[in-house]
Formats: sequence, C-alpha cells, structure tokens
Amino acid sequence: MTMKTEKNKETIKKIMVDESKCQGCYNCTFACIAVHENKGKNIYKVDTHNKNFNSRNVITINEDGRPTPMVCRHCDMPECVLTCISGAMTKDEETGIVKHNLKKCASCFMCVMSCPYGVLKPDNKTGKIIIKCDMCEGEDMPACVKSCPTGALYIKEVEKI
Amino acid sequence: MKYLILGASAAGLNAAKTLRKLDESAIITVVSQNTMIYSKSLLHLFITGERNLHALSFVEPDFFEQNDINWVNGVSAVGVNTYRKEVNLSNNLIETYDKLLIATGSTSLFPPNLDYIQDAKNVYSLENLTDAILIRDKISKSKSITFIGGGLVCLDIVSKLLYRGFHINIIEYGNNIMSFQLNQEAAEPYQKAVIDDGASLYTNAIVVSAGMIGDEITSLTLNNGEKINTDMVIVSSGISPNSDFLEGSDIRRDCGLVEIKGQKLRKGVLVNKKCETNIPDIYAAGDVCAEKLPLWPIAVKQGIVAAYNMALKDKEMRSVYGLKNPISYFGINTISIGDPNVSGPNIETIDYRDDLHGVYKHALVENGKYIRSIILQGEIQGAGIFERLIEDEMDISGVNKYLFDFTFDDFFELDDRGQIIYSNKNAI
Ligand SMILES: Cc1cc2nc3c(=O)[nH]c(=O)nc-3n(C[C@H](O)[C@H](O)[C@H](O)COP(=O)(O)OP(=O)(O)OC[C@H]3O[C@@H](n4cnc5c(N)ncnc54)[C@H](O)[C@@H]3O)c2cc1C
Ligand code: SF4
Repeated sequence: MTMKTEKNKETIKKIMVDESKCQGCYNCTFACIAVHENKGKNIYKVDTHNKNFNSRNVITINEDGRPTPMVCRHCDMPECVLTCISGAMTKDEETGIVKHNLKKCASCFMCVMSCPYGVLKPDNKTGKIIIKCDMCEGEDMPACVKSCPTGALYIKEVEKI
Repeated sequence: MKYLILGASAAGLNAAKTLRKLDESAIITVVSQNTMIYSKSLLHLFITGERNLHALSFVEPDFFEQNDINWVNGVSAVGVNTYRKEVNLSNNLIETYDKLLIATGSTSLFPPNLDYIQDAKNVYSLENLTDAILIRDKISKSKSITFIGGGLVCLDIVSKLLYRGFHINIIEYGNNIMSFQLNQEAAEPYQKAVIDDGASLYTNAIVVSAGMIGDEITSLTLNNGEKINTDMVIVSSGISPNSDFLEGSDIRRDCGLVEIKGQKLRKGVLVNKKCETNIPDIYAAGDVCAEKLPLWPIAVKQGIVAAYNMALKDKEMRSVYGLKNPISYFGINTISIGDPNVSGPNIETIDYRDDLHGVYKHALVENGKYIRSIILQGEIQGAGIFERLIEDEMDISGVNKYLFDFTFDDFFELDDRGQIIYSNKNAI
C-alpha cells in the first residue's frame, strides 16, 4: 500500500478512528468476520451464533458509555513486534503493515500482553492462534473501513518513516 | 563509523538491524560465541521435540547479508581495552571500534543452597542451546525427571512431557507453582492439570539431601523427610550476566547478588536510560545489564535504544519493568503483570470470577490509585493497557469505570498517526 503524493513523499495507509462518529452498529466487526472467517460472505449472512468466529477489531465502551471502535494501529514502533520471541510478528517497512506469521508463532502471547490497544487475542476455538488485523491485504480497502456507515473508521495517508 | 557488537541475540541483532537502518554507510560487525542464531525463549520447544534447531531462529536466514553485517561467530570477546578502543577475541585476533555495544546476555546461576548437587552429572539448568541439547538427550534415556522449582521453564517442559509416560516430580519452594506470577487461586487449574496427568507435586518443599551412585543423583530427600527417586534433575536457576570478560577494564559493573522476586540475579553492566555505560562510546543492552530481570522485550528495546544513541539519535528506555509474563499451558491462558504477592495496609483486592467460562481476574490496587498487580485468566485480551498502567505507575483514581473494563482511551490521547501520545516521545 505504498504510494507517492504530490510532494513526492512516500506514504502508507493507516486506518484512523473518529470515535465521536461511532454508533456502535458493529458493521466493522461483522465485515471483518465475513472476510476472514466466512470466506468473504455478505455480512448479513455471517452466522452470528458461531462462537468460533473472531473479529480482528473490537468496540469498547468508554467511561460515558460511548462506543469506540478499535483496529490494529500497525504501529510505527509496534510493541507486539518488540516483544515477539519467535520472529513471527514483523513490521513491513514498505507497506507499514505489521504482519503475523502463524508458522513461526510459538503462541506464547507476549504480544497480547503488550499491545496497549488490546486488539490482539487468542482465537475462540483453539485458544492458540493469534487473531491479528492484516489490513485485508490485497484488497483496495480494509473491510471494516468499507463497511463503516458513519466515517468513524477511515483511511488516512501518512508519511512513511 | 565502525560499530562493533558483542552478542548475536535479542539485544545484539536488534541493535545491528537498527544501526543499518539509521546509518547506511556504517561498518557493522557482530561477534558472538554462538555459531547459530536462536531464541533462548524457544529452547523448551527444542527439548520437547516440537521444533528443530532451524525453527529456533527469530530472524530470516539471510539476516546478515540483507543488512550488510559482518558476523564473526564461534568467537568470544575475552577483554576490552577502552583506551585503544579494542576488543580482544578468543581466537587471538583484535577487533577495533568507534562505538561498542556489549550485548553478551546471561548464563545460569546455580542456586547457592544447592551447591552440593551442582557437579552431579545428571543435574541440569537451562540457559543456552548446549544445555538444551544435553537435557533433550538425557530425557530420552530417563524414566523419571525431577524439577527443582515449579516456575515457567519447568512448566514449559512439563506441560509437553506429561503425556509421554515419564514420571515427573516438581519440587516447589513456594505455596504454589509459578508463585512469582500467580496466587494460589490462579495456580490451581494448572496444578490440577499437572497432578491429574500423573505428576507428583511437592509444594512448600526444600531439598535437604541427595543420594548418589557414582557421579549421578539417584534420589532427593525433602524437608518433610520424603524421598524421591529420580533419573535426572532440572534446576530452575537465577541468572548471571556474561560480563566476566570486562574484568580489569574501567567499565562499571555491579558484581553483587540481588534477589528480585525470589530470583537470584548477579548484577551486571551499569547503564543509564540511553544504554550508555560510564565510558564514552561504550553501550550495553539486554541480560548483561544490571538492575533488571531477564526478559526478551527489554533486551530488544535496549538493543534498539543503544543503536539510536550510538548513531547519535535520541532514544530512551521508558522502563525496564520485568514482572510480566503470559502463561499458557493445558489450554488455560493467563497473563500476570506485577507482583501477585504484594501486600500492605492500603492494598485493596478486586476479584472477578466466571467459573462457568474459566475466567478469573484479580487486581491489587494501592490507595485506590495505583495497580500493583493483575492476573487475567481465561480472558486475556486487553491485558496491554494494564502493562502500561502498572509499569508507568499511572493514577487510575480519575477514571470512573470497572477496573477490568479499562481500555487505553480511558488514559491516552491519539496523535495524528492514530497512536498513543506518551509524555516522553523519545522513549520506547
Ligand atoms: C529457557 C528460557 C525461556 C525464556 N522464556 C522467555 C519468555 O517466554 N519471555 C521472555 O520475555 N523472556 C524469556 N527468557 C529470557 C530471554 O530469553 C532473555 O532475556 C533474552 O534472550 C536476552 O537476550 P540478550 O540478547 O540480552 O542475551 P542472550 O540471549 O543471553 O544472548 C547473548 C549472546 O551473546 C553471546 N555471548 C556471550 N558471551 C559472549 C562473549 N564473551 N563474546 C561474544 N559473544 C558472547 C552469546 O553467544 C549470545 O549470542 C527465557 C530464557 C530462557 C533461558
Ligand atoms: S497489534 Fe497492537 S502493538 Fe501490534 S501493531 Fe497492532 S496495535 Fe500496534
């Protein structure tokens, strides 16, 4: 997802959050499940009773009872990468995406412990597989952003560092 | 600029990679005793046969070529001449440097009270690949295995060996296993699994004597008089920084012993938040440093911080807090941050239980303001915010919310890249 802007500075895409616009509709959650767990099925066809399905984003409720959607920040200095003992979690400097390599992962959960945004978790079914946002790699836009009806989740191009 | 890094593990390789990123034309040399790159934290997977040697690496196979780093392996540093800016090597050669990073890690420190069994041939502690190979080999010839210390390394191995017909004994000094991380209630499901699967667990137990045949231990006797027969013994050890080769140099070290949470540690090289030692152009990072617990992420961060400062760019350690561990055995996931045994008149306990789903959460809060310890069992997502709150001693009294529902946005603002704004922007 690297591209050049007019100023010819290389940029990367980031999913940004404007929680004041969030209505807590869970479209982003179902869209994420649809893409990653239900082979791209329409979000209205997602089996909401299937406890084995995992969303890579979360909606939290703040002090005043308001919802905030949270998606992996693909951090510039990602705690999950810095704590990974196996080399499974890496930062792709080109795209800015923080990737998880299931094959290398030792399921130690150091990353779950250290992501301050609380977006990582073991999967519901086996409790062993890290559930991690991949920015819907290969798609033109992440499913959560595409499905957000209010603009609470949006894409911003930021400078590559 | 000529950078020399001693040690090729978490601290050393992260420093090397960062230096390459910051300084394209740098000459970077890494010298290491080991001839293979491996993550120490994965050694138990090699012992139990789940990973081969190749799968223990935490970097890509072409790491050194890709980053244009010169790797001198199978060679140890034996001395440093800080005036001539030279390091003497075990192969009798000398490496010179403009900037030096000491990232030589640690080895095990045998518990002094067990001195008398240290030299027995079938007694092991796990610190490096050589230990792991010896342990793996001996396990294959043993029927009964005894662990002295029921800590994480013990459980790492035991949880995988239980179903394979060994008789396993765990001798734990504390009230429960993993007593540095867990209180009795959180340890209970793990203890139950261990016992149900046929291991013998002895808590509040101390080894008082050992029976030997030749140079091998055949039995251990406990303080309650019980005698345990065994083919081999694996001892949880403290750690000792690999800094002996600095003897005679003017790099400041602290060679005393310190006990952090029951772990005996020998102190090491003294550094500041920028990982600078007392000698200009000499830095240290990772387990070789004094005043911290041995933890992978601390070594990684110190390596990166050191590299930034070596390349004359500002970066600091936000903290070297080391009381934090994820625990995942027998399908039960727990995260423990802080000291679960902390006590005092102003400590309040907050507990949450959902027995049906195996969820137990436990927090110790001081003066209604500072979380000193948290255990999240069965539901570990969102633990990261507690790491920040405990490590940075953040005041929680202003947030009017159930503690276990805290999220990062109760405490932090986001910047224009959508990331937390910390008070010290240069710290990691
Ligand atoms: C069994 C086990 C399990 C662990 N599990 C975890 C875990 O789950 N999570 C966690 O956070 N931490 C864990 N740790 C701790 C973690 O592995 C260490 O904190 C980390 O490896 C420290 O990295 P380091 O780079 O400082 O040093 P080390 O990994 O100790 O590496 C030191 C390097 O220096 C080299 N060296 C040593 N002496 C010399 C010399 N004189 N000259 C040249 N080179 C030298 C060595 O060959 C090696 O390359 C575990 C440790 C062990 C032993
Ligand atoms: S998982 Fe957490 S720490 Fe890792 S990149 Fe995403 S937000 Fe950052």
